[in-house]
Amino acid sequence: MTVQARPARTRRDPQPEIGCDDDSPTIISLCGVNVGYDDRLALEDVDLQVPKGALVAVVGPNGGGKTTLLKLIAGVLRPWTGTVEVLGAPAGRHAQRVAYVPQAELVDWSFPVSVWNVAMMGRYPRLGPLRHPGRADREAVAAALERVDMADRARSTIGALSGGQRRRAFLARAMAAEADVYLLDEPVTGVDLPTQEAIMALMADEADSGKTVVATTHDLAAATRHFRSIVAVNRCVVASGPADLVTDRDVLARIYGPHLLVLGKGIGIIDDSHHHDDPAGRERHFHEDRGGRP
Amino acid sequence: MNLQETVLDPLAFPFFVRALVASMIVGLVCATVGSYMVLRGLAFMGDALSHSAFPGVVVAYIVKAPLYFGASIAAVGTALAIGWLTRQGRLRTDTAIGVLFAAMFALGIFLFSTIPNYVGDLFGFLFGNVLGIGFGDLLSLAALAALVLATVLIFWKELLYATFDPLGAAASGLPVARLDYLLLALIALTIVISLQAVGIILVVAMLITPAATAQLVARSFGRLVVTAAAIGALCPILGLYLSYWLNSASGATVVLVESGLFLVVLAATGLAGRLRRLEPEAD
Amino acid sequence: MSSRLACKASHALAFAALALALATSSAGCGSTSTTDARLTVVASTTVFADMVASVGGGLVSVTSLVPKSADVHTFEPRPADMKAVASASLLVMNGLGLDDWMERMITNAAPEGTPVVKLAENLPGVELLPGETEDTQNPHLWLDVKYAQLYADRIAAALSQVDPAHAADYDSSAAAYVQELEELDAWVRAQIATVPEANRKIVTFHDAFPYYAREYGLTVVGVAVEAPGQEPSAAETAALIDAIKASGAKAIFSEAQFPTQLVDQLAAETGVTVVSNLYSGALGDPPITSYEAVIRWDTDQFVKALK
Repeated sequence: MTVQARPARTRRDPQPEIGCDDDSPTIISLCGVNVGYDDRLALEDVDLQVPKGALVAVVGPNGGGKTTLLKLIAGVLRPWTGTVEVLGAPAGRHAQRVAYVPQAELVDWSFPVSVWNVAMMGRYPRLGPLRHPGRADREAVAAALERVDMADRARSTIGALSGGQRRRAFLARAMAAEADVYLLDEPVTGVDLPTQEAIMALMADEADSGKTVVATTHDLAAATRHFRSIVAVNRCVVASGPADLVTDRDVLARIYGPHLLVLGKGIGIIDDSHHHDDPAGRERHFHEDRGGRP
Repeated sequence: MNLQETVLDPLAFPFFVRALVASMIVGLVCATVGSYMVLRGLAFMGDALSHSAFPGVVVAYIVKAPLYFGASIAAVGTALAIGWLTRQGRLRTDTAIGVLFAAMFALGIFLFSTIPNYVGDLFGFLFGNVLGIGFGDLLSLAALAALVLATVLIFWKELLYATFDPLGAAASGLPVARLDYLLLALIALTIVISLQAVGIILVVAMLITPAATAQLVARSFGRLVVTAAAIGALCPILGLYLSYWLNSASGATVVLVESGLFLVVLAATGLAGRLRRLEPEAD
Repeated sequence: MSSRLACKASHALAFAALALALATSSAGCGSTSTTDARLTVVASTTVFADMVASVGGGLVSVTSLVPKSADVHTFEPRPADMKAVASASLLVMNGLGLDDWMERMITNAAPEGTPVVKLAENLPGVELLPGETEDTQNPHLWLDVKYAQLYADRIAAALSQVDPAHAADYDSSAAAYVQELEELDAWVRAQIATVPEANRKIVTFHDAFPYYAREYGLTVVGVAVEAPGQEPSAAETAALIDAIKASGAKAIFSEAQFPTQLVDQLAAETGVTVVSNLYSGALGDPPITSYEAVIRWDTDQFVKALK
C-alpha cells in the first residue's frame, strides 16, 4: 500500500493534480493545506493520502514541519487553507478513535501518576464526565500493558521509569484507547535498540490489524528499517513513497539541502542539530512553561 | 490552663466556631483546586486573580451591590481574559498575567481613592476578617465550596488528562480549551470564597502551600489531592487556636502553620532521600 | 519511603488524638473562674472607657477595644477583642461612622440582646457638623467638653438600665463627673482666651476638632486627610497648601498615631509649625491617661503653638 503525496511545485497553483479523489481506502487525507503559527508559514501546499493499514514515517529536518503535520492530523491545529480529513470526517471529529503519543521531552515526568494511570487515561475520552472506569476499561488497560510488557511495572510512577519504559507506557495508553489511528511523535528517539525493535514490532502488528500508524522521526535509519512508507517533509512535501525512498541521494538532497554533506559514492552525512519545532504561541498551553524544552 | 480548657474555651464562642468551620472549608477547597495549580505552574496566576478581585470589590462597594458579586465578576473575568490572551499566543503566559494583574489592582486603588469617606470594610478584603464571618456568610461559603468541589469531582478524569498531557488529551477528543477555562473559573471562584477568611494578599498561600507539601509525599494524583485537602482542612484548626491564644491575626497564623508544615515535610523527605541513597539499591 | 513517612505521620496523629481524648475526658481540674461582681463593660476606645470608669467607678470593669495610641478609624479586631465583646454586659461605642467596625463585631460575637449604647447618635441638644460627604456627620463630639457632659449622662443612663440596683450610685457619680467637666470647660475657655484672635487658626491632620474649635473659638482652616487611611490626591494637597498660606494659620496639628510625612511636607511648603502629638480618639502614655488629661494636653498644645 502506497502513500500518495504530490510533491510541491515551484509555481503557485490552487488546483491539485493528484491525491484528492475518493476511490482509495483513505484514512487520512490532506488537500491543499497551508498552515503556520502566527505569521510564519510552517507547511505549504500539502496534499497527502494515507490509506488504511499504513505504517508511515514522516521524516525531515528539524523545524521542517513534521510535528505540525501530526498536529494537523490530530485535529489540534487548524489549517489556514485546505482540508484535513481523518476517518472520513474533518480532523478532530472522530478524535476518540485517534491516539496521540507526544514527544518524550514535552511530558512532565515528575507528575504523580503511575503507569496504570497513564494507560487508563486512554479510556477517559470514551467515558465522559462522572462515569468511573469499569471492568471493560480495566481489562483493556491490563491487556494493553501486557502487550507492551509493562504489566509488572503498572504501579510505578512514571518518573521512576527508564526512557524505553516511559515510551511503552504511553504506547499502552494509545492501545488501551482502542484507537484506529496512531500518531506518534518521535517514538524511537532516545531509546535503545531492543526497545526500538519492540515498539516497532507492536506498531507493525497494529498496522497489520488494519490500524493506521503515522510517526515522525528524524532517524532515517530507523525510518528505513521499521516503516513501510515514508513522507519527507521540509516546509512542504518533498517526496513520498516506499521506505527505501530515503536511500535516494536526490531525495535526500531535497530534504536536507545544505545539511547534507556528500563524502563519496553512496556516503553522506546529515548534520541536523537536535532541536524541536517551536510549538509557537498560538498553541501555548499552561504546561509548556514548565521547562519541557531544552 | 490545662489541655481541656485550651481546646474547649474558644469553642464557647459562636464567632470562633464559625471562624473555625469557615477556615476549614476554605482550606479544603483551596488545597483541592491548588493541586492543579501546583502541577501546572499556576501559582502566579493565583496571586494575580486574587489581586484582580479588588477592583470588583471596590466597584460593588460604590454601587452598593454585594461585595462578593463584584469580586466574582472581576476575578472570573480576569481569569478568562488571561486565558484568552495566552491562547492568542502573542505573549508568554506570565507576561499576560503580570500586565492584567497590575492593571486590575491599580484600577482598584484608583477607584478606592475616589471614595470620599472611610471604607474599613475594604481593608478586611485585603487581609481577611475570618472573625467577622456571620452565619449567613458561612452558609453561602459552604454552598459555593460544595459547588466547586462537585465540579472538580465531576470532571476529575478530564481535568487530570488535560493537566497532564494537553496535547494528547486534545488529540483524543477532550475539549482542552474549555477545560482550561473551567479550571481558571474554579480558581477564581475559590479565591472569592476565601477572601473573607484570609484576604486577597494571603489567599495564594492557602491555594499553593498544602498542595506543594502534598507533592513532596504523594505518589499518585489522587493521593496528592486528598493529602493536600487534608492539610488544607486541618492546618486552620491549629492556626486559629494559635491565633486565639496568641491574639494574632488569624489568616496570617493559618498561613504560617501551613508554611511551617511544608518546611518540616521538606526537611523530612530530604533527609529520607539522603538515607535512601545510603541504602543498597533495590530494583 | 514516602509511604513509610505517611505511616509515621498517621501514627503520630493517632497518638495525638488519643492524648486529646484522654485529656478532655479527665475530670476538669482547671481553675474555676472567679466570679467578678462588677459589671463588664466594653468600650470602643480608651477615651470612652475612661468616661465609663469615671461614671461607674468601682462598680464596673471596663476595657477598651482600640488600644492606647492606636487609630480608631483603621482598627482590625483580634480574637481577644471578639472574646471581650462576647462576654460584655454593656457595649459602648460612639457611632456616626467613627467605629462602625464595632457594629459588625457586635452582630457576630455579642449574644442576642446585649445592650449597646451609641453615645453620639440621636443625642438631644447637639448640633451636628457635616462629615466627609453630604449624608454623613462628623463624629468627634466628645472633644467639646459640653458634649462630653452629655456623653456622661448617657453613660449613666445606660449603666442604670443594665444595673438598676445601683442606679442611684451611677447618677451621683455622673453628677460629680459632670461638675468636674464643667470646671474643665471653663479652664479651656480661659486658656484659649489668652491666644490673640488673629492667631486662632488651625490646620489638623483629620477633621477631629471641629466641635472643639466651634465651642472654644478656633477656626479650622483646613484638614490634611479627609479620611484616615486615604492618601490625599495631589490637587487636594495643593489646595490645602494654598488655603494655609492664605489664611495665615500658624500651626498644623497632627496626632500621635498618624504618620508624620504628610504633615512635615505641608509644614515645609508653608513654613508653619508642626505639632504632632495631639490626642483625640485614644489615650496615650502617662500623663495622658484620662479624658480630662486629653483635653488639657490638647489645649496646652494649641495655646503654646498659637500664641
